Amino acid sequence: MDAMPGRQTRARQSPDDRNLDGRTVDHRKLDQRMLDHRMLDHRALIPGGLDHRLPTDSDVDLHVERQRSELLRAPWAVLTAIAVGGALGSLARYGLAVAFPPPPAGLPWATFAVNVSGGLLIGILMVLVTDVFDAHPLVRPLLGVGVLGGFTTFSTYVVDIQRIVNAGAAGTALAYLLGTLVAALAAVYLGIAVTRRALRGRLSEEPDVDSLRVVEEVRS
Amino acid sequence: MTVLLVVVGAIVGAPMRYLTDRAVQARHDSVFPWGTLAVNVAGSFILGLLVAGAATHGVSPHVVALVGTGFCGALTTYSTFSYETVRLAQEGARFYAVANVVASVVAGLGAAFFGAAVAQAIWG
Repeated sequence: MDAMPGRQTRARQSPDDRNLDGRTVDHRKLDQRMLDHRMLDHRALIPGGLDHRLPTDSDVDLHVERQRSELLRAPWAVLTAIAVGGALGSLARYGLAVAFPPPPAGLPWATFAVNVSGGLLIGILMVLVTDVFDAHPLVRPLLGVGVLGGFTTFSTYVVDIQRIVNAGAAGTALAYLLGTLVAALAAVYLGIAVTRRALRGRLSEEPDVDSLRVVEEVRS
Repeated sequence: MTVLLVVVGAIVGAPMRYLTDRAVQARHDSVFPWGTLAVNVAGSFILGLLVAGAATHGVSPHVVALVGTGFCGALTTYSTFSYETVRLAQEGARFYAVANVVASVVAGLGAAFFGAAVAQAIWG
């Protein structure tokens, strides 16, 4: 899917190449974006927003060229960053679980807090590494895949529900199941929305460094 | 000691999630996040097995720390699961978003109970 004849020649800039935000539209990036989101619905193709540029999977999204090639480019650096981040995140999760152990039939508040705050942070992180600055290629593997992936846990969430059900408190289990779900999803949404809003002003004032670099590359 | 076991388990678990996700996506080009679902369900099965095994003293606390807290904790993820769900909904793929939540919770719980049943059969 990489080969796309004529893509290079479309990377140009003129006063018309601006969207409603006043940001410069980069045609080459736009084409890639369309490729990246070819499986998703038509709204992904409309320029002007930031959110469609986010990948769908924060761990790795093979529709994004840079992520597809990262393991070949630097396999040990990427895997080491993920392992180190995973160890740090898991240590933090373990520390909180030891500090706040759940009662036998009670709610595991530490795991709840871990999973909800992890959702908020992944939302913030993915907007930052995707949209704002030219993030180092190891930032997402280290912080997103490693630290936040190791910090949050699905297995403990599920086994805690099982434990509460086995203790005879099915209502509490259901409340925990739905509570974590709703809070974590809201946290991700909030993380994305707040970060985008905080950055929108900045992005419309400053030139898009990435597009300028592409233009330079094409010219030279 | 326990801390070290958690760290060692996580050092294996986190890269395994990444590599599994890549492998699943490479073989199965889909919007639906099969890779994350796979690691979350697999991790739920293993942790269900270990916790039930530990309750009958069939599994040592060291193994629970290494494989359960460390490996399964890092292998599975709530941040990616919830991020994917929100992104699918934002992209208009609402059916996939709902399906991801239902499939993850139902399959994860099923896997944990199945793991506990297997532990009961082995050590019960």
